[in-house]
Amino acid sequence: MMKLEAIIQPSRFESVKDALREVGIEGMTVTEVRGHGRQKGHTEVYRGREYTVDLLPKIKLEMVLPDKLVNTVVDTILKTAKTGKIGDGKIFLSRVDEAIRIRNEERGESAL
Amino acid sequence: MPGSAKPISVLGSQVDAERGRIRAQFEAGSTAKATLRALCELADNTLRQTFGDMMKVHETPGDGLSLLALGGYGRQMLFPYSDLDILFLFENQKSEEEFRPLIAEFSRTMWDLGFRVSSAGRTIDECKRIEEDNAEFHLALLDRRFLAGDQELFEKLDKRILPPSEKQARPFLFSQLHRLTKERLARYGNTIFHLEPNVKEAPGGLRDYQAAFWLRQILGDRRDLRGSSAADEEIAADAVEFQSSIRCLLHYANARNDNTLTYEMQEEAAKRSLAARDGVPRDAAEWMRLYFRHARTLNRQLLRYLDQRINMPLSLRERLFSAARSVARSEPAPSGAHFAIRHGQFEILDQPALADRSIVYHLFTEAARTGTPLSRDAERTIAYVLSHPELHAINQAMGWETLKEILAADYPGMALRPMQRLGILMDVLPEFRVIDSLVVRDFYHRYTVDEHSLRTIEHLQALAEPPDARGAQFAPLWKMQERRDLLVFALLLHDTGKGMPVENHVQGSLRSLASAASRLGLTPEEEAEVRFLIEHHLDMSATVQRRDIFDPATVSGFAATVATLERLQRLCLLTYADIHAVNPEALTPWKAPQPRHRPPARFRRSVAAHTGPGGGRRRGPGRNRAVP
Repeated sequence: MMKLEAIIQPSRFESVKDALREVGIEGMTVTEVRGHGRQKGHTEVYRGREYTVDLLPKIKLEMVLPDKLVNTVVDTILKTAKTGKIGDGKIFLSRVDEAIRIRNEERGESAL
Repeated sequence: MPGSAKPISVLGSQVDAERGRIRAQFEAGSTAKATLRALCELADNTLRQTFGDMMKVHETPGDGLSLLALGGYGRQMLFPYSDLDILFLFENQKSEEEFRPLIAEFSRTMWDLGFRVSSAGRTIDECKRIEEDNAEFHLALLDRRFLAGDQELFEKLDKRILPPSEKQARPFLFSQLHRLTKERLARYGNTIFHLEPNVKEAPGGLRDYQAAFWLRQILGDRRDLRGSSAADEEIAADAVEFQSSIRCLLHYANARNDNTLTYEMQEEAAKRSLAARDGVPRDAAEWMRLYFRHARTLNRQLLRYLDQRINMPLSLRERLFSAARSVARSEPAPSGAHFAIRHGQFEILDQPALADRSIVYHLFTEAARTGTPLSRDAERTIAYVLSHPELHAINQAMGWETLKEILAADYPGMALRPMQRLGILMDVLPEFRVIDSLVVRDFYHRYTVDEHSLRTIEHLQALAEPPDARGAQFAPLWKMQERRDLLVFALLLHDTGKGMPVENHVQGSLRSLASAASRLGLTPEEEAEVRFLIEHHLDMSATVQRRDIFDPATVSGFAATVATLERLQRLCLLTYADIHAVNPEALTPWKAPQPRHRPPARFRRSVAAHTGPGGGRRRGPGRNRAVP
């Protein structure tokens, strides 16, 4: 099992959500976050103070996936979240040791 | 094919290969100056190639758009992992709209080629206006350099638009740079003597050089600065090369824009004899002494420029107020005076008289008595006289009576600091030499040993007007102190043992005392008092932090050591100053010795029991009273 976290542009969220549903992903956690990358949140034609680091609104998606779905979900997010501009975001993958359904204590991939 | 650009994969490989070549040359011993120039040339060429390709692909001549380099990149000082500070200059709003997509593509390409582009965009009209909350942009604009695009547009900005607005904005730019610089220096404790300094931002680092450079430009073509500019550049050149070499080493070693000269990197730099032209092998501590020498050069130069004043047009009311204030801050010099206070600082009136060193020492005594600093010009004058042996000196030795007067005054730090900078402190107290710029690796200490010692004294003198509630608790102890000179003398020597090859630095410091006391002629009682303070300078903090101070055995043991209330008070003050000077965060409420928390009755009885028959008075320096 893998945990996938994706930071994406808010404007791409609806497209990403719809596309993920189409590939069979139904469970995810969505958070409104703020952040920046190496460009410090500055646009190409920036007019603010150089040493200001701007935190821009983003959407964070989190989901735990069976291994066989990981590549599909990554490809889906890459296709639908990309605008080609700076600020598109990132995807992080990490291994998950166990998942447990609280209601009936089901474990493993069947708990997803 | 018309309009085609070099594929980014090809350009990327070329850029990576060139970066590798530049790094290899640096590792093989190329100078920092050559390395920075090469990196700048690589950035310039790549930027021009990318920009030119983009213009071809989009079939636009690029009229109405210029690319400018600013800041460090503008000055052609580009470090391996520094940002590229770029300005996109537009003819007008319409040009900006037109070129926006192209600029976005250009920025993405440069990022993908590994350049950290930090860009701003302005129309030429916007450049005329001074943004009062964005002084950093206007300062970076002072280093503008044309890179690519519409050269005529750049010339218009550079030659016609900016010069008059910068001239008019000089007072604003000076005051902002002054403020930003003071804030930065204060963040680092206004000292160059950090154990792991930041070679860019800390006092003595490259930012000092940059700020001095800008100040020279802002202050303009002033007669009193014209001659010094070339001399300053020459003096600074070695120091800039040294600091730049360190910064290149740090960037390559850390693979990011991290400018902290850690202990590990000090070892590495010493092993390579980095930027040490004489080729003499050194250990890390000795190599750091080189660092501090260069840091001192850059910092002094900056401070001299910060002291300059800029002429601002004043209203009649402001002129009258300023004149009255100037009179209040100056004291009329009595006839025959060798120095006087002008604008709140001591100035030398009679340079030849300084051949009589007693006049120099008298100046230091007055500085310590009044809390008035010496001006930078005054220090330079003294330095000049000291460095010219043909000016026949008389009364060269500073005796204990004069030193005592300085140490006992209300502001000893005002004298000791310039004495240290001028080398006079080490002439008077050669024992201090072993801790000059000494780095001792310690998790808690932030400063070199000499800097720490001077800070302990300054923390005590600050108790005259306590800076905070904690200081206010110790202020009464300081104010009632007799023989402050002995306490301050102990602080000067208490850590000199750290510069000696001894197992216990306290024993080394006691040796320093024995040597200094004999040479200066302290009385046996004076020496005994200072010896006590040095010998036990760690006891109070060790007892408070590691023992149960409400345990009668602890109390009795400590009382037996201090024996008198006066010694307890002096030790308390010494401990406060010592911990406070480790680093600004060291004196937590937990650690601060709490004079009010001493177990009153039992402790006093314990101390009284150890003061001799009948609990009577002990004779000695000051009135040592037994505790009732």
